[in-house]
Amino acid sequence: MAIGEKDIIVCDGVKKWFGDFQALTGVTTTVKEREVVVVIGPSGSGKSTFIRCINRLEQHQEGVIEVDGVLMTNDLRNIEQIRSEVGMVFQQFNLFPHLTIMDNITLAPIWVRKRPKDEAEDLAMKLLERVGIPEQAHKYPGQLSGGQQQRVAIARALAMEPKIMLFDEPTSALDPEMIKEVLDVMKELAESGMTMVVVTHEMGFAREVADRVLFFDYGTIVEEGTPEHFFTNPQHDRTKLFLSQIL
Amino acid sequence: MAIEQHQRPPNWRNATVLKWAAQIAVLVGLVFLFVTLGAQSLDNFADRGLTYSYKFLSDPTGVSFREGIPLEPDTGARALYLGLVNTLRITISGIVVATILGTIIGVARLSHNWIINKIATVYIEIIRNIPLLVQIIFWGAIIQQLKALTDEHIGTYAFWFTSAKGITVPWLFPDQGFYQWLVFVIIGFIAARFVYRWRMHIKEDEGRETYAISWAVGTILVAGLIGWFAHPLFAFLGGILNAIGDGIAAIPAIVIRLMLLVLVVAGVGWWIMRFFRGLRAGDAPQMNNRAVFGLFAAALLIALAVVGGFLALAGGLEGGPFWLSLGAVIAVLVVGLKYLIDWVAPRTLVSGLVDDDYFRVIFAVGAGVTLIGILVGIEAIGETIINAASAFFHFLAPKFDSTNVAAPFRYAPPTVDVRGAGFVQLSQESLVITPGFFALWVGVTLYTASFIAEIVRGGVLAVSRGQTEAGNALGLSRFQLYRFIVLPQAFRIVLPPIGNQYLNLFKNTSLGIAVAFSDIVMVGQTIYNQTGQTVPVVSLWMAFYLTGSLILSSIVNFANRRLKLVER
Amino acid sequence: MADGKIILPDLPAAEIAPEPPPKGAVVWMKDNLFSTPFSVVLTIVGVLLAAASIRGFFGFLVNPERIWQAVTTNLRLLMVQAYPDQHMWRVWTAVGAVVVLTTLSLAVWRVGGRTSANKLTTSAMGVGGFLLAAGLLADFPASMRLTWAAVGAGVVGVAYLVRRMMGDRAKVDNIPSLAVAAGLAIGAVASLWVLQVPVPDPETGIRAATVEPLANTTRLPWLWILIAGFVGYGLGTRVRGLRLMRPLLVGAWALSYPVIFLHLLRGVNFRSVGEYALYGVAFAVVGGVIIYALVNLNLGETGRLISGALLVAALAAWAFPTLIVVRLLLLVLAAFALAAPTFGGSGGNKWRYVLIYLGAVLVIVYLMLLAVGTSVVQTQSAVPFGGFMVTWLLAIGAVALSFPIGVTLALARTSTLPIFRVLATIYIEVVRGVPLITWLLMSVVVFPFLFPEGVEFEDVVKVLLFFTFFSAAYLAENVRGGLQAVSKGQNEASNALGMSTVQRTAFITLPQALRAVIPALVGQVIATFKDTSLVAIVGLFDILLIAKNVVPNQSQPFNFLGSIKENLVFVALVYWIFTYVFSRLSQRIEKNLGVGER
Repeated sequence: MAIGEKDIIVCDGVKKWFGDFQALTGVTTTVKEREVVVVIGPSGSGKSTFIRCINRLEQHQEGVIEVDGVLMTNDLRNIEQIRSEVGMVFQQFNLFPHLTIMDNITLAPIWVRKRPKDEAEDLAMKLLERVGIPEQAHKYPGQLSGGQQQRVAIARALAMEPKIMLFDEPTSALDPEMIKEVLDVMKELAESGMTMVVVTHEMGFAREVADRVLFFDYGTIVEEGTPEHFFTNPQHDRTKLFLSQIL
Repeated sequence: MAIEQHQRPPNWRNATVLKWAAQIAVLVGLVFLFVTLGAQSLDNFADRGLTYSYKFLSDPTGVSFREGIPLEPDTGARALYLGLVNTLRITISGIVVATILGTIIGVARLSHNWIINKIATVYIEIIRNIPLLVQIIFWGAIIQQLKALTDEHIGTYAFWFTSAKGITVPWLFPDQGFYQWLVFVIIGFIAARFVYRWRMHIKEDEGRETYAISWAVGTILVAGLIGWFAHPLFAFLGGILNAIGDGIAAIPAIVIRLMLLVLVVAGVGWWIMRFFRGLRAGDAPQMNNRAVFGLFAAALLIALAVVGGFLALAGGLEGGPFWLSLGAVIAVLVVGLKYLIDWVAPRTLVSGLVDDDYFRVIFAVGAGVTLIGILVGIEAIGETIINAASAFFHFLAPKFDSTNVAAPFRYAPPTVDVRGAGFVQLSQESLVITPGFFALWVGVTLYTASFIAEIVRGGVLAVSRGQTEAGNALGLSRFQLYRFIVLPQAFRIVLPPIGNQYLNLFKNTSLGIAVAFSDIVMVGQTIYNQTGQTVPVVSLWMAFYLTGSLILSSIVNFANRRLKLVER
Repeated sequence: MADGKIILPDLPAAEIAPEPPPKGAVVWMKDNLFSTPFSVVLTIVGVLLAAASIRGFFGFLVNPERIWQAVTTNLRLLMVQAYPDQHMWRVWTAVGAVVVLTTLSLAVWRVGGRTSANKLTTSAMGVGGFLLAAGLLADFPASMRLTWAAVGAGVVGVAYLVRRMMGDRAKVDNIPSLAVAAGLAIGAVASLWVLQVPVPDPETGIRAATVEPLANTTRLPWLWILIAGFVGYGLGTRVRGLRLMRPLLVGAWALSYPVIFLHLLRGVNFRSVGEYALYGVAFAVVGGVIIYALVNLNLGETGRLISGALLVAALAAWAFPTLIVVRLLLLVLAAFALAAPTFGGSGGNKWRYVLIYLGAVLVIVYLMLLAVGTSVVQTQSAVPFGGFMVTWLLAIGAVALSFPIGVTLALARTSTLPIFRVLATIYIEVVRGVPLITWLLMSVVVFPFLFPEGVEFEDVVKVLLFFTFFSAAYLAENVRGGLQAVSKGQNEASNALGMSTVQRTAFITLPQALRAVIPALVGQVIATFKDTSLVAIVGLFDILLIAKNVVPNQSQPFNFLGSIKENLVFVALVYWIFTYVFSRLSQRIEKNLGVGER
């Protein structure tokens, strides 16, 4: 689907410290509607911190973040609004172990979005079908495989009907044979026109699906461009070094 | 920048402001509650013609306690000290015996021998599931119904005598030279440490067995032996201790209070300095750490002066107007502090200061002001510290008096004598275990042992089976396996929970009140029954138990840390 | 073997049939008593120790100096102190209600595992063996010795025969544990009818005048309670399919304590019904409308302002002279209003929220009617509680009341808000650092001074309050352990889904944390139950104080002077039974949690 005109995420000079350590040293970028952005970089380069700042799991200290026209400040209303528009998928799935799959997915729609229960359950079933595991609805997360859990996590995030989806290394904790089933779901999601910011080490996914690739190092964007440009003709030395090691 | 950065949201939607507003509201509510209740209790006290005072500490009690050190001089402080000593006696002896007994039972519980295993299980299941108080009272009832002594017992020799008034066993009492001898033993301990290191060094260098532990123990024994004869050498310590005591007594009270004040100011300043250093992003601040420290220490003093001045001036104001204007004064100070932070921050290259951080600094200063207010408000605090310290040294000094060779210990066999109107009694010359002591000691020891046993069992079981198998594979004997593989690891696991049991034992000694054992709680109760000074007595109890708990738990923590270091 | 496979020759099945492991008493003794020389020594020491203990124990029990009638005659005193005769039905109905609730819950939650005949016969043989050993070893009169030994041998023999006859079937877990428990309960009640003890005659003062059944006055009530328990279980199996059964039962359990407490204290005062009903209806109508509006019209910040104002009004009501019922109702209204945006829900749930509010109003009005009623239960002391009854009321009350406080403290101590954290830490450490007895003494000598004249608390209430505060600190530490076990990822996931802090805590953090600490919480209940014995020191007439000070001083009509040891043994037995059952229960729960780990 074509990339939209509207800027949906705007970051300008975002900085973040953990004590003495500066994790983000000034990140400036813009994500357009329906764009799929893949963030890569060595570990410790601040890429996870960056996407966690977008829904305020981390609080940035300097600079500006604007999501769908809402400024990220201490304002409770803004935080609420941004979080309800941004879905997130974690490396460790973070499903709620004491709730069934169905309850995992419907909890937030019912209590945060105030959907009637049956409506929320209908939606949850549809999403489970979309990620390919409708038969697991009444099991507990512990009874599912890693790949199934991660697909449930995606369904759970989608149940809030977000405009943007963030993926924080969604396949890193998975066995190799399960990675594909999760990536397939993500591909399908990208094709349906969802705005996505994906932190990953899956270069194949980046090459195939991304509209744009950001290379992070030392807490900032060292290089960015289309996958084609990025994988065939990297400009920066750090990028070349990184790609030579990973490919 | 393209977008205006500081668009402050309205306060009622600002996450940081709401967070702190809620906290401050609760804090103010609590302070208000405590002030109200405190004032009410003062009023109620005044209705009875009383004011809170610690005067009972120096007043005679006019009571005699059945237990413990002699009540000389007869003051409330001495009586409480007597209670304290009694509490510690039970605690320490109880801890030692409960640990040994508990370990034995815990190991028995793991035994492959069916009958030993069952006996240990029955012991644990019975003792653990009956309230301690019931057990203590039961032991008390047992000893109370023992038969009285008769004339036949006088002059006879036995290993012990029992009667409803107590039990007596042979004992060694510390005698004249004890403290001087103790100095030798302490020196022995210090020397043993060096000897141990020296032997270990040789062992590491040459690889042969050097019996380091035996050498260390030997050193202590030798020191004790020398001390037995040479202890009058240390008679001069008495004079030194006296001089220290006199010296402390000569310090004016104001000095101590000033020292406390400096301590608090320095503490707050130091905390803020560290706080700023933690936030710093660059390398070359225009302002050094000491300047930050000084600035905030000064700010704290100014805040103190302003609040103190206000309180002094507004002494007459009552109720609403007073609190309102105090609130205004505090608000002005808070705003001033905010500007100070804003001024300092860029000069120390602090970056990313968020609202949260302002609140933290302001709170540190506020806590400092309050603490100093309390310290200044209690006038007696300086004098109390001086008196206690000087009394401590003056108490120790006469213990070093004896210049002759006197035995550090005195042996006392159990004896029975006749006192007063022909009553046959246990002689006070020998060690008399009073019924209260017996009941409480047996009660807490057996009870704690049952818990320690379960902990030991759990600890040994927790050392994984693989460890045992590895040990077996190395061909260690069962004893060696336990001594070198299982127990050292189990010890590390069981130490924290056993430490908790020690704390429980310490607190459980307060149940002695049920069998008329004069521990600190019972002495305190006697005192407030006479003087009506409930709140002061309660405050002393709390101070004692909190300090005791703190000391015990820090000993356990220390041991725990040491063990962990050794293991790594 | 070239391809790395090892091929075993086929053997006829009979030749590799496993030998049965060596069995029999001799093998068992060799393994468990005489495996090594050291073990032999241990066995000899152990046997001597056990024999001496049994002999000593029974020597103590059957010693002619013992006055066991001090216990049997004073059972009623020990259990309920001076609770008046004509109101004893209140106590019995309270016990009955709890039993019925328990059996109902057992049925609804499908509790109970299965056990095997093997395990049962082993227990029976243990009991029989103990009786036999006691009969042989103890210093009994000859006839008694014979009876005990015979009964013991009989039990062992029957158990052994049963096991032999069942063979391998005995190893199968096919006997429901609940059936065993029911059997034991029936046996216990039946023994009330059968067992006979010598009863003293108050007229003559003769200690063993007649021989009568153990429980003349209690056997009928216990029978009814037993029947009610069975009926409750049967009912439970019928209704356990219903959807609302579990929440209803939880609600019933939560309400049972205050209702029982007040019913033991007072009857409903029907004169005030009109007045209170008026308040109730007023709050139901006005409050219901407010709550409905808050849930349904998405009022946003206006809604928050309204509920904030309600909260201020509710708190202010405590500063001005207002009827207690109004204060409480205002507080409840404010709480429901504040929680409306978070828990109001959606669709049909919106009505449910309003209904829950109305239910809360009803309950409060009902409880207040009980509380303000003039006491119909008159005794010499102001509060008719004493004996073992007060132990129970204190233990359960302290645990139930301390639960919300403890959870709040634990949340505060683990929160990111520094002042809350510091305050909670100070509270927890100070309360835990000082022994319970000093707190109880404070409740008697300091606490009353904190209030203006005219505000007075009954001793029981003071002690209950301090027990609650004390228990809350320990509970908080337990819950904190559970909270720390919840991973950080759970918080992040709920934040990312846009849940508020309260929703996150209620739906995600607490359910996981509490589940993790259930065994610790049962341990806490046991500890509190044992700790209640301390009220004897501050002069509350609980079972211990009666046993220690009241019964041993009775000289009229019977001379029970100096019977303190007998009474204490009885008290210890009563405590022991309950704590033992509790601790077994907690072990069972721990095991089940471990197995059912999801």
